[in-house]
Amino acid sequence: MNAKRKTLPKGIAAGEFDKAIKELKKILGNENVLEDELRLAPYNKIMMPVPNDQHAPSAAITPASVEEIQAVLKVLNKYKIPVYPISTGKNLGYGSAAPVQRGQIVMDLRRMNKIIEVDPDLCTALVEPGVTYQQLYDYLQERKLPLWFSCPAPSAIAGPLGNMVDRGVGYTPYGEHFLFSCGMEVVLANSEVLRTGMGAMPNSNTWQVFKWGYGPTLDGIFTQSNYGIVTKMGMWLMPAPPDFRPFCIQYPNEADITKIVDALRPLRIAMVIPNAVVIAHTLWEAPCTPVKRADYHTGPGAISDAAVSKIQKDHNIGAWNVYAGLYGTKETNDANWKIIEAVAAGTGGKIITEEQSKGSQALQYRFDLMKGKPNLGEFGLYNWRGGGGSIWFAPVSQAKGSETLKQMKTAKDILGKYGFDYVGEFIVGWRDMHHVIDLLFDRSDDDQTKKAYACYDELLHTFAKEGYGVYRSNTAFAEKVAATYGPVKRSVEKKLKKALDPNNILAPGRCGISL
Amino acid sequence: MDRRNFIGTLLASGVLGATLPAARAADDLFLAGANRVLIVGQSDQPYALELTAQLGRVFTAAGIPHMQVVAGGTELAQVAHVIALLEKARGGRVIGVMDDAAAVIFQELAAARGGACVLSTHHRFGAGAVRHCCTSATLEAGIVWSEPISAQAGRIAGVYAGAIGGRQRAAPTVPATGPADGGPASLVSFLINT
Ligand SMILES: Cc1cc2nc3c(=O)[nH]c(=O)nc-3n(C[C@H](O)[C@H](O)[C@H](O)COP(=O)(O)OP(=O)(O)OC[C@H]3O[C@@H](n4cnc5c(N)ncnc54)[C@H](O)[C@@H]3O)c2cc1C
Repeated sequence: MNAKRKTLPKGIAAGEFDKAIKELKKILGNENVLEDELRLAPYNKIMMPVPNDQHAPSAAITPASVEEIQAVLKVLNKYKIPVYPISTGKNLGYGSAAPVQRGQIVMDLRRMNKIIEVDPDLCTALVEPGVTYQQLYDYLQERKLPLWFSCPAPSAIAGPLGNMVDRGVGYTPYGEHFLFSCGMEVVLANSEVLRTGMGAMPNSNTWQVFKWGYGPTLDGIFTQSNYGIVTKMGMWLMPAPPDFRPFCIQYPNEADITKIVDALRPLRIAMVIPNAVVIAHTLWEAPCTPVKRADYHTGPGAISDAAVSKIQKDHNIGAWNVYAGLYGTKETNDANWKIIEAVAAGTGGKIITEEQSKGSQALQYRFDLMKGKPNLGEFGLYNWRGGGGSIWFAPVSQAKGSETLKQMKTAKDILGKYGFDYVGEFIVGWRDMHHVIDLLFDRSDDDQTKKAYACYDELLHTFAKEGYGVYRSNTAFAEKVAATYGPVKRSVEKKLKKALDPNNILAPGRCGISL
Repeated sequence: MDRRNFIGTLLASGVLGATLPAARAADDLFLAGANRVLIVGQSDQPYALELTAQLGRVFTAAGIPHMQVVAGGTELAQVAHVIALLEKARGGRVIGVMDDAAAVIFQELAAARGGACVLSTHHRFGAGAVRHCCTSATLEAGIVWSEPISAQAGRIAGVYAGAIGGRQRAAPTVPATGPADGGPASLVSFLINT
């Protein structure tokens, strides 16, 4: 065995692993098979409250084509070695680029980074896994194409394909990313290449415009799963509207969330507001402003409500800060603006327009995100607590005021019990909301790390008891989250796994799916 | 004038706008050397500047070719700026000393270009003391130690010099106590092979 090797996939003998590595090197070249601990370091920065070695990869490979992936899978099937595909690998707070289980080989697809096609008439794009949002943005800008896409907050370094397969969200009217994807190419475990939807038909030119094809629609089973390696994805782009009017409405009290949601829901469902409305709590805004936690709270434990109120006053931040935009012509936006003004006045909110927002970092990055302009403004969150620990707890809620207040209070109580702050926001889909909470902790402190694990566990199970499921989870909790969705769903998933990946080589354990 | 004030004065005068003077003479050597190190310090974080300066002194004494640059937190959140810094360090190493947010961005952008973070240290400041937690791909467990802030970052600079010189890092002998939570500031330093 390679003397330097510390980590092996579960149940694989060192000699067998060495043989497989040799064969992989033949296919990919030595430089694209990483074994050295130092070169594996980027795949081991997990941010989660568990030891790094639980998610340590045994190796990483960087194939550059579908053909190479097909050849690699043949070797991995032969040796029954598991592989964990990533695209741009920036799933920070959900497990980053590390495999779901110790010993899996990371398949890093960043070298497959071609923007294969952008159709400016149909407003579609076809991209490979390694394409970043920034790359796509630069491509559109360089060609002066008046097209926008929706991107998540860490957009400048993340990519549309990886985000979509994890069912991520963004902030333009195309913010539900899976919904606005159209057609995938997937390499299956047996090396067959499947194109979904219209892509299955030879010579079809409708792959990126019609999602459904004929018969069952398969795309969904390749998201939040481990049934194939997605190598191409079609996505819809949005024509840049003639008039874009982003705004923020600030509310002074935590309890205002009830009336905010009830007032905005009809506007969202009727698409007066066409994008995902974000309702961000003070403590989400503060670090991005930026405000230093230590100026308001030192010592252990969660920050007090009094300190939070002081932050609001000192820095002009609402208890809740609603972000949304109007997308249309000047005439339609003028008409809809009157509705927004009336709603804000009726609910006690203070509107901040783009003009009035100048100079505010927190507002600027949000307004940019709402037009799909990549930035990294939200990384300020990491300075709130410091220490590099972060996991997202993201339960789904009905878009009803009473529900939001209940979820927020429950979460805040549990977080407070373990000494953590409520750093949360609600992202209004259409009829649902993603309630996203960043559980921030100091990962260099063992005690806080243990508490963060226990806290997430309690959040998960308390919410599940109330019937609230999370929409996405970090890899350390994948199994526990999957369990909250009940046995029948899991048994169907297992049957699919058996049929599509009988050797269990594709990311076993991802989203709790394994044989 | 203490060092913090001194650096503050230099900053205000614009002298530190791009390159620290101590390193300027090393520029030519830096660009030519294979074992060169680019040290990036966050200009709006006093301790980052202090550690950056200390690293410069230790590296100069050890004969390690290096160059120091400073950048503000806003610049370190911009992809183009960070990529330009990584370009500057291409084929060599880069040491960053910055806040948590900037450190994640820097490390992730480096990783996307195949850079490997060899060593990373989290620094937590309490009243008069700083706790360092140093992790590395080659260490089984992190090394944690605390020391008075007045220790002027000498030990941590020595750890980085040791890592670059390839010498075995000895675990500091000072007991691992000190500020755990709620210390007023948090910083990260790291070493990346680009
Ligand atoms: C400050 C901050 C804010 C954030 N805000 C948002 C937000 O607004 N919205 C949001 O959605 N997320 C957000 N995130 C989470 C995350 O960073 C993004 O979702 C990011 O887009 C995911 O990383 P990626 O795009 O590099 O995907 P990857 O990390 O490449 O992929 C994600 C996962 O999908 C699977 N996968 C990837 N590629 C393939 C493939 N080709 N075939 C099969 N499976 C694959 C893997 O399991 C992988 O771990 C945020 C993170 C941070 C730090």
